[in-house]
Amino acid sequence: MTLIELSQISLTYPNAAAPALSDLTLAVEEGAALSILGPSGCGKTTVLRAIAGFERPHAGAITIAGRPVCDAAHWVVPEERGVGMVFQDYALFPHLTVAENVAFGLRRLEKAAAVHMVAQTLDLVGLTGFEDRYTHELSGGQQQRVALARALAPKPIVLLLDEPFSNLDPDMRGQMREEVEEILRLTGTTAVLVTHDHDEAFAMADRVAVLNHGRLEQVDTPEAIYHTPSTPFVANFVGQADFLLGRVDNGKIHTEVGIFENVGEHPPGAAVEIMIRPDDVHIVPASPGGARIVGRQFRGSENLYTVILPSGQHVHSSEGSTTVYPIGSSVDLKIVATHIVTFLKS
Amino acid sequence: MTQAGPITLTPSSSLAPASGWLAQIGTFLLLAVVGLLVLPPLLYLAAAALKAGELGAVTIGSLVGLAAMTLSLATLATIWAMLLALPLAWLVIRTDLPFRNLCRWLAVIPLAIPSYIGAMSYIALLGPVGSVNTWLSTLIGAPQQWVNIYGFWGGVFVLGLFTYPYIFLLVSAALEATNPSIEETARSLGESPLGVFRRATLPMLRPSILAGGLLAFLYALSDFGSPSLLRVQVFTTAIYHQLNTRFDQAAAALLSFVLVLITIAVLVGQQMLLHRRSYVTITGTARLARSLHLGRWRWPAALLVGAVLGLSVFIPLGVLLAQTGSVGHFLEVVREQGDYIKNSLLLAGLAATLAVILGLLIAFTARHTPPRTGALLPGTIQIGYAIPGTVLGLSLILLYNTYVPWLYGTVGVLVVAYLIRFLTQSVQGVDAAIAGINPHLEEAARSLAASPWRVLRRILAPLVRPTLFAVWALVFISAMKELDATLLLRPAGFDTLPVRVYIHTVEAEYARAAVMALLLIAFTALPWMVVTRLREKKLV
Amino acid sequence: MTVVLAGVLFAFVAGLLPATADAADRLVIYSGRKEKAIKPVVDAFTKQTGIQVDLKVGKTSGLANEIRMEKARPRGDLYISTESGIVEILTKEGLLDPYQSAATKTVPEDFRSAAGTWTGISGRARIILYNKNLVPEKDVPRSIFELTNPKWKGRLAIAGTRERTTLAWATALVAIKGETFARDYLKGLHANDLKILTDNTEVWQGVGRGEFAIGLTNSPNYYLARQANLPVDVVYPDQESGGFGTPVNPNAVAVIKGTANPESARKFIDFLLSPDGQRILVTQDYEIPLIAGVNSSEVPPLQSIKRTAVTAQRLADLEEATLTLLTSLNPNW
Repeated sequence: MTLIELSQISLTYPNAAAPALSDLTLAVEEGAALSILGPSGCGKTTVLRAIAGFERPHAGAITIAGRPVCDAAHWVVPEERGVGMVFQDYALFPHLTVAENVAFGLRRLEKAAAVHMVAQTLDLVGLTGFEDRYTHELSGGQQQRVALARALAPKPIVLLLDEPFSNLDPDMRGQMREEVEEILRLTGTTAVLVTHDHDEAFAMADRVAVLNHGRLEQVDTPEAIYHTPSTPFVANFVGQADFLLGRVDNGKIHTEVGIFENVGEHPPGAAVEIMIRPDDVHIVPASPGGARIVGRQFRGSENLYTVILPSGQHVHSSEGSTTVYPIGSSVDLKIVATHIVTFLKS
Repeated sequence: MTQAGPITLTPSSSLAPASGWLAQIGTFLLLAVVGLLVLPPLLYLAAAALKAGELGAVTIGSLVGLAAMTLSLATLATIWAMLLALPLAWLVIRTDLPFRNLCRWLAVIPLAIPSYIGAMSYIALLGPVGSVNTWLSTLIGAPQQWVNIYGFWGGVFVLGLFTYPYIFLLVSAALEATNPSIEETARSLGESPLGVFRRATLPMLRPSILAGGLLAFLYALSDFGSPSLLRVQVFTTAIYHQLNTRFDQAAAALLSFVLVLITIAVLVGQQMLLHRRSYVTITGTARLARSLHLGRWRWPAALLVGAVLGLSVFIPLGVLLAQTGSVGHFLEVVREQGDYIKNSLLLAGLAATLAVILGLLIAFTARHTPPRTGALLPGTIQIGYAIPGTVLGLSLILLYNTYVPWLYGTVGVLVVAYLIRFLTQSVQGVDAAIAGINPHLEEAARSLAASPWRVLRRILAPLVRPTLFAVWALVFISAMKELDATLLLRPAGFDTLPVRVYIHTVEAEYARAAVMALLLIAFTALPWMVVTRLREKKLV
Repeated sequence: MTVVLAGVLFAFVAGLLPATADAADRLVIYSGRKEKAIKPVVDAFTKQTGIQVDLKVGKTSGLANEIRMEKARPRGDLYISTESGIVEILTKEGLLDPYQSAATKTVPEDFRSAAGTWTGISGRARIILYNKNLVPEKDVPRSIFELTNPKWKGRLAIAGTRERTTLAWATALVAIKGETFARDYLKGLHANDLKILTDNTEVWQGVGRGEFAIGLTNSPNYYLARQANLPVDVVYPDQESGGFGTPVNPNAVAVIKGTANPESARKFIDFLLSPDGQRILVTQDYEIPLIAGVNSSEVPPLQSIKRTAVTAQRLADLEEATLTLLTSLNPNW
């Protein structure tokens, strides 16, 4: 069942030249997690704020659990939308204790029920025993958990998370990501997560929406986004990608490193680009005259090689961390692509 | 106020659109306050001024002369106040000045001394036959006039002395909140301490200097007591002349209206000045600045601070004390006139409490209305500060006696007058405080099903509570000192402390006047003392 | 917090209520006369009649403005002014009710309203006040017209027209001597650097402390200066036969039109003009009694003063022109 539905949302901030969102249509299924991914300034936070009711789109409609909350005829204020939000800066109330922060959204409950709910939620996020602390006495990760508990306690229809891990240390980030994912799964909470980190988007979400300049580029599963991006922007944004130039001839695409299927059914003679990811590219030692290794980055679990083709184009290849070739080696490239993605060269 | 990272300000106001019953009530209240409180006297002034235009009772030439005199007086008094306030604030906050906490506390006391009382003290001291002249003449043996406080420069001197705390308060708060590392960086780049002050500290303080200077300037513009006593011809004294000698209320209205227009021009100018540069957002204090060691300059600096406090606190209080006579007389006056203390305290307390409540609601609502109306309404409230007390009093008599007779003739109309004159202090103060709160806190609360009313009560009000106390004290101080409008609007039989000071002064009962003045100053300063103590103990 | 706030507000309102309650059956007096002078009379009146009085003391002119503004719904019952010109203006504007007390006819005709709206209750003469240390006995001026003599240059002071008695004095000059003469005389004073001060208190104190040798002011101020142990003496100027005399200004009482308590108001006027009321009034502040038979120990009786022969109505008529004349000579007037 579709829980959140945005259709043809457009929004321009006052005094801004370009629209923050244009003609955006998006749906979130109940119990699912959707990541909204994009570079900073792409409008991804604006989507969250529109769902929460903090911004009012100029056009389009939003429904939450079947209820129209924003269209030409309806406007539901944030406090009546039943959405929970976790802010990038957590926005904890500094004058309230941890327990009071979590209880803030529970005032419709009986006192005893609220106390119980606070205890239960704090237990869920692993903060039992911190009830009477003030938020400035907590570490960043703990503050993050309070923010999460506070948003979850009223059992929101949907949980909105705005770059929730960006203020954490890298090691903390991975751990929190796992914990949050676990909590969302346990509670069956529908979530929309905004991030500029594709790893985070892939790890957390069932589906990922990629946004660029206020426009939706693609919505799909993480795998599909990664392997079969629908635009060069998506291809580039969600991971290392190289684009090989090719030409359609005889129903095939001919490139410098080989011949590929014309999966895009481009017309004969058309100039196209084939996207290849480093893990599709394998290096085989070869006699001089062809491609040449010009760089190697050791990344722990892998080596990322940069290879220059005779035409001058750079291609990246990911090899096992124990497979080491000296820089300057002449190599051949073997492309083993499970998914061939092609774009018409503009 | 926030602890999770710096505040990110999005280009939009970052606040949810106004909605719900509170927002509507808030907007309505805002309109009602502005509409019913401030606009009628302004419209009355405008209408009466138009009538006077035909009479030609006031010539263009005299207007230009008055405007020149008034503006130079206010400008020079403000510059003088800045010269007093800036070194004081810097020394008290940033250096190891001896008795710095005491000095900081004392530096606010001049606000509690009404400028007319300050002027009277200085006349007694520096007048042509004042103590100083008498003493010098006796010392040298030749009767001669060495100093004369009367006139333009005397007016500048006295006004600056009793308005500099406005600048001191804002600048010392800003100094405390700004990151000292900026100054330390400047020092490490080879600047001398003075160079740091001039090139790093001063530019950072510009907004607070401007804001404090504006308060001092507007006070000087609308003050009647001290220019009148010191014989400076300004708008307020000319208005008084038209009203009380010529009985020409239309001409008085015309002059007042011009004064209001000048004020509007000043306010618009200030807005433009602030708009052109971005607000320097001050994120929570990272740490306290290490005090700068004054070394051998420590005692000369103390001497300078002592001189400023001497001129603005000890000398006027000393003169008043010298005039009170015996302790027995003092106590007798207190016993006899205890009721007036109660009147003043209750009235100023009521006005301050209402001003804080309204200020909070108005500032909150103004942030939730489209920017243009949001700025216009508090702006209108600000103009109320500029209507001279006498003119405001007379227009309120006419308006309230005609249309709200049940309120007129009670202390209610005094509260109305105080709100018109001083509400802006509360609105501006609370607005600035709310602006410093991370907008995400409000959004977080609303996403947790809190209505705007609950957000205001549970989140914003507690967070701006220190400001609310400070603003309360500020309005209280202003209301305690108010004389011109009170004299006209008080119900028969209901006198306040300033009214008693006035009556005793007019009747040349200086000892009584001095006792009442000292009581007035003491009770005016009292809440400020309490608030400061509480803040030191982190109780507010 | 809300509860505390509500409590505080309630306390304030409750604390203020007694001051505002049951104002209707109390007599409200707007007095330009000093509190020191009028309060004892009020207290005696309350003691005698049992009528409660709320006194609002202020500047005569300020209170007059208030009465004008309150025209639609008068709040005061009685008005006591320190000068007759102002009650004449209020009479012209129809803001006063006529009332003739039984004792009114014992007040000399030039100290009561022709329309019967106001009655003089005591008087003050214009005097020359001088500092005995600065003016030797032989130099003491006997006429205001001597003051244009260059020997007084820089030594003269007078209050501005904010003090309405100053305006009345100048207007009397215009009325008796004519505008041309008055203008030349005033120009003469200005040529002598006449200092125009804010009010009469500044004049008597300035003279008493030696800032000025001579001040033009009102008779009670001489006694105030003496009471303050200042070295001053007084001259009632131009007393020779056929001379200008000196203006005597009455303090006046009048019933405000539309008063809610006309009976009590009239009773108060009766009391003010009664021997008891008069005695308290004139002894408090060195006023000149206007009713024959009332005597003050120190103040010269009215009969002994040759006063400038001009009516209050005439003064009121010439007032505006005189003010224009004065301000054209010097804006500080």
